[in-house]
Amino acid sequence: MNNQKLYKGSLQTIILNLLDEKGKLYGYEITKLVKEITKGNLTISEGALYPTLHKLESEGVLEVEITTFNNRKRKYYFLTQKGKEEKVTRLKELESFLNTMQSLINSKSLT
Amino acid sequence: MELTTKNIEQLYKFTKDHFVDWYDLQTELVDHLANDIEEIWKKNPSISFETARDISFKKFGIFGFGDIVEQKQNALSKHYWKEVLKEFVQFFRLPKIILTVFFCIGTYSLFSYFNNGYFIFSLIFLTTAIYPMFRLYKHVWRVKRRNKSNNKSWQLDGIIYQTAFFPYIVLCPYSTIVDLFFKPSFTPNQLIFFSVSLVLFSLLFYVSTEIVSPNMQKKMVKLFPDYAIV
Repeated sequence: MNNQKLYKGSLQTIILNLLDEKGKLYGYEITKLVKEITKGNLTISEGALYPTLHKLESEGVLEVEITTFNNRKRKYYFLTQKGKEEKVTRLKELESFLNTMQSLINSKSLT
Repeated sequence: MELTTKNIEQLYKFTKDHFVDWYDLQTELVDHLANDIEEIWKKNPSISFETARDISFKKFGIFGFGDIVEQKQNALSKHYWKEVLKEFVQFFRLPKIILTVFFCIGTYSLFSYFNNGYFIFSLIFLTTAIYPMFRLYKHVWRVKRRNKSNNKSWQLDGIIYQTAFFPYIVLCPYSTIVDLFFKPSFTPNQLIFFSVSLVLFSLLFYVSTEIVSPNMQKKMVKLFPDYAIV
């Protein structure tokens, strides 16, 4: 999609919000969920997802656990207390950004 | 259709062949590829395991796992040093600052009492070269023993290797330090500088090898029991 760049800066917020809603998720599940929710409008690439998850994990925003699924190990991510607070802040920032963009787009000087 | 144990082993080998050396990261990527292959098979069951695996791998982009490996390394390294700094700062806050001051005064008194190049150089050399060498040897021995039992590499071990080497960066101006050896005595200001530097270095090394590394290793064992040395 051409608008992938617009979503790029919001990847962390998307992940934090999904984890807050679902509790715990593994990497592949996140890509699948985002695709389902956005009806295919947004695809998170593997090359962007894992570095973001690892960064959030190293910052103490996410915690991990390993479980066994069928014949393989699975790494689940979930929010820490810091992550829950971070999610609230990020959502507020995103909301403020959207409002600003809305004001700019609706501004008479632009039309 | 689900992947067999043999397929999972093949995926571990595949990630290793594509420059993912660490078992912890391999595990996450293997699960991702396995999920995607199963999803591909749902749509097209006639496709072979290898073809499905290659389709899935292409989704990682032209650099394959390269970017993920590099950024994971950066993230863990940054996290490690952040933890070291967090613990190190504690030695400048109450109550641990009392200990820091005590060590500085103690080292200064010792240097003042034996105020000669031979003694001061020997003590600095022992603390900044011999002891870190011993720690490095101990770590290498543990890693070898672990690898022997399960043949797996871990990212955390690589980071610990780096930290075991960092004292040698401090030792780069060794030619200057060697000159100290032949000095008969030092001024009080020089002694203060040597004592404080030595205490700060020792604290940093202690925090890194005795507090942060073991804490991170304990966390790793919780996630991957294979990481523990049997």
